[in-house]
Amino acid sequence: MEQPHFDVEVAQNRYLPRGADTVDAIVTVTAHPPAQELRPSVAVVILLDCSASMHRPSKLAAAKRAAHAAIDSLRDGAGFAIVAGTHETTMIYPDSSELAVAGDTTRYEAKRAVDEITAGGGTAMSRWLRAAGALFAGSEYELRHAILLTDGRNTSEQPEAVSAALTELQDTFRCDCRGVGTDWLVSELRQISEALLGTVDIVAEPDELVTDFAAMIERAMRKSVPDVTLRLWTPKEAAVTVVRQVDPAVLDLTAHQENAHVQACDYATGAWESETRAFQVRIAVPAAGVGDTMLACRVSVVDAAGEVLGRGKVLATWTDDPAYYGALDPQVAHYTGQVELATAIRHGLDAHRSGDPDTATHELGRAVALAAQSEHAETMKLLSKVVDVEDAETGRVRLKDSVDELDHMTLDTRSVVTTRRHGRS
Amino acid sequence: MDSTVMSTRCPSCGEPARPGDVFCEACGGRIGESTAGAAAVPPEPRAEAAARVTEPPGTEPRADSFAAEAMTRALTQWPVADLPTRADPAWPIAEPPTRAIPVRPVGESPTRAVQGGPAEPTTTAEPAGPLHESAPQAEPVWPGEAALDEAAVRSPDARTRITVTPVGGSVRDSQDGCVHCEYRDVDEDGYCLRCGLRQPTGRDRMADDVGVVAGVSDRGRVRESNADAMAFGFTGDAAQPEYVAAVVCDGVGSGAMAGQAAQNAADAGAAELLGCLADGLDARKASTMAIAAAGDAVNALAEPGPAEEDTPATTYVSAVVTGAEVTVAWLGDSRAYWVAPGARADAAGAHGGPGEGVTCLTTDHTVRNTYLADGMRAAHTLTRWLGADSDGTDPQVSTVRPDRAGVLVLCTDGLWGYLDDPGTLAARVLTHGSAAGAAAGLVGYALSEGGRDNVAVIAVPFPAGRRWP
Ligand SMILES: [Zn+2]
Ligand SMILES: [Zn+2]
Repeated sequence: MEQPHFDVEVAQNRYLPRGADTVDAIVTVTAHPPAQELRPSVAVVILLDCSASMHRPSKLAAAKRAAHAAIDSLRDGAGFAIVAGTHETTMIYPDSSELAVAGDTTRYEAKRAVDEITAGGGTAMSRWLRAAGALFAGSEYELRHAILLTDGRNTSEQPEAVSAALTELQDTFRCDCRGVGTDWLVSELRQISEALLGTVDIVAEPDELVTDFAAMIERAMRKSVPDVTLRLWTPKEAAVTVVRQVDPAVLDLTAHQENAHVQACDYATGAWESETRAFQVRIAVPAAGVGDTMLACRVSVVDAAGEVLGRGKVLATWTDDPAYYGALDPQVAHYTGQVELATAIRHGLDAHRSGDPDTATHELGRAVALAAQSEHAETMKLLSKVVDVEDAETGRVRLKDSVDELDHMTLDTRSVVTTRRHGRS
Repeated sequence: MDSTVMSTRCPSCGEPARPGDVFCEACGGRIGESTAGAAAVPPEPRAEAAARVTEPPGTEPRADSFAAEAMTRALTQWPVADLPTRADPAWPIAEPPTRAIPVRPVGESPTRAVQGGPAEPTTTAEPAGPLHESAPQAEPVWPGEAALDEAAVRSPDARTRITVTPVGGSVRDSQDGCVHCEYRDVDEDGYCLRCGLRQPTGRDRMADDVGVVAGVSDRGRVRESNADAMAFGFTGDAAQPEYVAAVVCDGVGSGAMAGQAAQNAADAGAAELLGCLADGLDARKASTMAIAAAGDAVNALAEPGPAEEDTPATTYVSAVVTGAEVTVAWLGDSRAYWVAPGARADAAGAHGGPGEGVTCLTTDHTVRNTYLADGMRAAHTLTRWLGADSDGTDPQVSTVRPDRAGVLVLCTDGLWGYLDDPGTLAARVLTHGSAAGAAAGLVGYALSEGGRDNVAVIAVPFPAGRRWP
């Protein structure tokens, strides 16, 4: 049987000054999945917001068209379901609590059922998520993917309800979240997508939903290695202090940790297609003597069955030579900067929203400088809709007199998207 | 090879294992003690052969490959400190210090016994060349010993056998586990599965034991390389050696040159010392001739021209131990201590020689000692040494006749810098039951105290031939 395999590449400056106890590395993982015909089974649950606010004709109609596109993109044999979400949930298709199997008939029936949807009621997202979880739980599909579409805030329940549901459902399926318009909360959808290892994005125009949904389904269909885990072994008395995905987007994995063994922790990374992701890893180690070399971390990529698909090593060597320990690894420096960039944007936007223009200007200026430095053109473009850039290099900016809510939310949503290091071979 | 049974799961945690895995990826536990690696080691052809290899029989295969790799590494780093590699049975019969050893009537070509590995077990101990004919037929040589490397030199009358053990290479005492945390398992790349630290390689840690003398040297915890060196050996039969000789050197400076100078001096000094003793020279004369040879070996490293920065120089202390006396010779601040059972330190024995307790037999050649009479406080700076810019090799030689059995300890300042109380030395030496145990114990003490400097310790039980007083 052909096995997927993963290349694991570690970028770091392994030289540390005397007494240093922090080891930083960027672990770049590239998946090489098996041939197409060996791909795992996949199921998709579409969670459509059908609360009263969706009633505006353009929105509901666009959501229906998007659902059609999604259904058409399902490959034969894929499991699927459409769920209408309000303050409760309603099965749109199928009407049983079991996933349908995609085929010509079920696709046709599903689209007819979608056409019948009407809007009305509140918004209780924890119930939507639990409904998806229940559908997946009763199935045997290896890849489990949900798409959540909303246009508003989670007003029909306390925030704790969502947190509790996420704790329960974490790592059982992936969920991509999409917000239509500007009446939803970035923080609410981000909380869901981070816990369920998905993406979050804003859809400015309802019409854009169609292409976006089709693309999401196609992407889900391409995923070929389910439930991939990053396993980090560390020496006794050492500890992993930071694990976050930094490419293609910043995603903190610390909460996705499970103690695999005495000296190893597992971090769920979800399903993979043929792709490359980078992870920032920081390890606190007991400082060893000058001249000593420590294996600070064994990195392995492990599948659901516990099979090791790839490995790498993070080392540490203590030295008194500043020529060695003084050099910053370019990859580590780059992604550290990307994480700072995302943080600066978020702090800046929060300050802006809470009426603190000084902090907003300072943080967004820093973000502009970091974006310029890393040649992050996409983020720079989004930043320039919120601030007037006077000098990008030094980060001298002025807040715009009026910022469009859409631009504000777009920058917020996409702040986590990083760029690769330019000039890398 | 049909014993190659792979366990497919870790016996400790049940994690699946891949073929060839020696350790569990998940928990670090060992997977299948008798798997592929063990089966790949050919059986030893002879019982003696087992005694000639570095590791005792039963040592795990990973240690084998590690030691071989470490030696290869050591070879590339230290071209002069020639070490046999098991992978290269045709390892040339080269004499490391030859160019530095003055021409001598006997033993001018110290023929090195090649530890060729299992392929040719019985011939290895016999000297090659013309001397071979006059030698008595091979008997198992030094049975039971586990020396890494020995040079056998034979005087023309073939009555005396000299065994030199230049300790320029690396022996990892694999059965002891991690040298840092003593955990039993170390992975195939030499990283401890508990503390993650890499096991020392090459000159980082050197150890050898020939029973009647043993030594350990360690890089320490602060210096990046080891500039201490040692060499030792004996004449005659291992069970009843006539002379046991040992040399400890501490290279001056910290570059690669320092370690090279120290190793050259130790190797050349020990070879010359044993050669002279075998020729019938007395211990004092042999000691000064050995220092001359060691000096030549160090000076041979000097580059012509005004390269001021990296000039080769080293301290030197040697000891010759017989059944009746101990002769030490030294330049610099490496020391020789007499240690004998008893409570009092610095006590004279019944015959005026050192008795019970601890006696330092050497006086440091340092600025501090030179001006001590004037009450000056001076830095720890050498006034005499071996090698470049030395104002003529002017060693000090001292002979004592102990009145009881004891242990002679040679060491560098990496050890004695931690010996505020001489009683510490006595306590730490005498708790052990062998020269190897004492040397390793003292090095371990220096490391546990901080390992600020490289450390080298040789222990020689007195009288010569005793395994322990
Ligand atoms: Zn295990
Ligand atoms: Zn260890």
